[in-house]
Amino acid sequence: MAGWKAWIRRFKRLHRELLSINRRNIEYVYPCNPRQFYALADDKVLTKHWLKELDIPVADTYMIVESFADIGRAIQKLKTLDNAVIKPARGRGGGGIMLVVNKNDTLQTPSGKPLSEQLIRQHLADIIFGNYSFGLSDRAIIEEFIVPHPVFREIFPEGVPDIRVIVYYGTPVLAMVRIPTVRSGGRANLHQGAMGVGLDLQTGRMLHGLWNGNYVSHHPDTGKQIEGIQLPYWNEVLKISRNIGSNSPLKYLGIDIVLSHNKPIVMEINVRPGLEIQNINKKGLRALLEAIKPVCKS
Amino acid sequence: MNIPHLVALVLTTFTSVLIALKFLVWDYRFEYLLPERGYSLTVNMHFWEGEEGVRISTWLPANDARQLVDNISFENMGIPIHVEPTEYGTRAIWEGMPPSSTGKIAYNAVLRLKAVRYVLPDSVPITEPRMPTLKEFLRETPTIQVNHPVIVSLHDSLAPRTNNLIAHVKRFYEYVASFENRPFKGTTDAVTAALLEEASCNGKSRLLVALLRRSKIPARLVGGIVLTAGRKRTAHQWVEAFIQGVWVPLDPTNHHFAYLPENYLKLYVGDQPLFSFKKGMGFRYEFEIQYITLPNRFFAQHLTEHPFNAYKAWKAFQENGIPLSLLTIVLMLPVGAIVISIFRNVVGMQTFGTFLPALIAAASVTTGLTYGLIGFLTVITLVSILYYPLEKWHITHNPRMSIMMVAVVSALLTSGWLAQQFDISNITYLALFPVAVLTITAERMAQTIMEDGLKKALWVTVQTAFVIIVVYEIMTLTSLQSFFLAMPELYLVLVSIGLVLGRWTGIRLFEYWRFRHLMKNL
Repeated sequence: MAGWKAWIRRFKRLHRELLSINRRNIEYVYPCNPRQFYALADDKVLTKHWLKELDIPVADTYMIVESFADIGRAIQKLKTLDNAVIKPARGRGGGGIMLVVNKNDTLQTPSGKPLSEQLIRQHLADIIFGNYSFGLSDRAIIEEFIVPHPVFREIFPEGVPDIRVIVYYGTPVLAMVRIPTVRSGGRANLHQGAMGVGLDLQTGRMLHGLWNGNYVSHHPDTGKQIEGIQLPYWNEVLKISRNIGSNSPLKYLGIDIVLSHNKPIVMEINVRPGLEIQNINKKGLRALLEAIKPVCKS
Repeated sequence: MNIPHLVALVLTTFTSVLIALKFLVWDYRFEYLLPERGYSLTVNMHFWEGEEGVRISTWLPANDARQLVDNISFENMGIPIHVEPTEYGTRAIWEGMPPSSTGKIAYNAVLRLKAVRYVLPDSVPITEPRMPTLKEFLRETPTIQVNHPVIVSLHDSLAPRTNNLIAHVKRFYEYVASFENRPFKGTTDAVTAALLEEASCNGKSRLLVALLRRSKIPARLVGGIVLTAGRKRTAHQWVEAFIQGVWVPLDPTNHHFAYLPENYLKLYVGDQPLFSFKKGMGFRYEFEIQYITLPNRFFAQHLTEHPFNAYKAWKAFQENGIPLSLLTIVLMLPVGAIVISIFRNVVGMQTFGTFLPALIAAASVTTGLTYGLIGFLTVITLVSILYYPLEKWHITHNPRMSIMMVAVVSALLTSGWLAQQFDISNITYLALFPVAVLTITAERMAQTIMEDGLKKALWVTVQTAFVIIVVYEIMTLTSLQSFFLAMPELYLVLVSIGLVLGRWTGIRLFEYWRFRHLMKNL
């Protein structure tokens, strides 16, 4: 049997190269990301404030809804806008996000379902009550509705794909794009069935997708090719990632970036970035991280 | 080596030294710490046609040098029971009007038994017994016909020409033991057994008693049960011969000479039935026997007499009215927690909550694991369904949790009521389930269904159930419980395991599956 020797080799390589969840926590998250700075990543109001100071593009904030007293004003504000996104400052996994489109002075969802004022009030109240953030009271952010770059609309017309870059001490290490699918219901969330696409870190070219346990070269719903497609603004994406990484007290980060028609926009920062990116890129993070710098010491 | 590993090493070394001291210097003995095997014997007595009242009597197990009754409990169906010690054994009599003419009474005994072997001298002269009470054991009875011509001639042909009692006993025992065993129903007397040269236990025993008595050696029948796991209806009889002031057991049926195996339960002496009941009523009995594990009977005394163990603290809790079973399981919770950590961090399993499986396992100690698991699954499923309307109506977090807790408590109350309706008393203990933990689990389950889908939620439930089963089996190990009480320093080993586990950067077992694509493509 020639097979088993190959498997032992792969096994040994996996041990050298894979970043396991235990190692990520013990050697990277705990020592590299001091807990007192978590808020910088966990609270999107603080994240945006900080990124703005670094001159990094973020979605325009129209309003921050801090308390129930602000809800009336928020509704008025929404009526003056063409479209907007309502999201909890401390939400997770894309929970609690509401897209609002103002069409002929009636508020509705992007697909055209009407949104009553009552429903929006209720949603803002839920966010402030902390329904989307482990029961902690929270604030709601009303911000710019970002229309993804045409390169993405070409692949799958719904939702907003986002780029994840793993940054360690200011160096981008691994990157992927998450592209919504029918199964994910338009959300760019791998758990919910979005497709992960590996990226060539140097060029920003898409390599291959991982969807439903298989590597694919085309989008599963539209059949559009993804392999070899060049992402726009890639150098800026890298520049932004380095900038955040080297200015942050948090040294091991997952940065989520959305591409609009004219620029990359940073949406959030993650202090415990997931490990699925290794499957998607067919690359182990451990080897890449250890090549950069000795491991942080606690 | 880093600090946590160093601390773990120091703690483990300290524990090992203390344990070594305990066993090598302070005279701790494993045999007094290890649990013993015991038996649970349930005797079910069914009766019918008891319209004019019932009267049932039987012999209860009693303590002697080789058998110990740990606990005995009764199911009397409201019929008055009368227990009296007699010279033949402890007699229980149920007599009175039952609430219905058909029913079941029962008793359960928790027993510890020992095997015993008698070393007989080579030669003992046969002498006329001096004690007048022994005269009874030489007498002829209608079924032990000592002076019947058949017995007399058999005796005379067998009896050795010597006054050595041991030679007589051996000769008769070997002769009767050589008979075929036959499952005869009913009573076989000594003469019948002698003529047929085959019999069941009671015929063989009566013949042996008759032959011994013929030689002026006091002898008697003994009745009891040979305990083997399962249900059965067969009782057993064997013989005791009085040799130099001691009643020595002889079982010609199962071939035990001056030896009683561990699983022999003695109930009474004399030629009498195990059960008797009033004429006219219907009666049927059945034995249910289980092997069980019991704490060592010398455990408490051993710990009291030796230094550095947790027995005194344990005892203090007990004196304040905390039931020991509860306390024991609480003491085992850290063990459960470490096992769960291993499942999560080394295997990579996902469970609802970190400690939840240990708490469910602890709560299941009173209900039994089956009812515990069923209860746990039912409650969290029902309550997680409630999550959807609450979510849909935008009920905020804290009030939502309190509503779900009402549902959990109601589910527990309902289970108590159901238990009474269907007479499954085990379920009533579900009320002891940690209510808050169940509420949080139900919420977690509902959120998992919402965010990751039903399939994922079911998968986590399966893993949680699996971990509960394993943790339960470990936490209820009597030997482990005894060790932690005798050697509380073992808790430091748990701390060490936690420290090592918490710094372990290895790949979790499930990650090999998760990253199989990566492994293939590296």
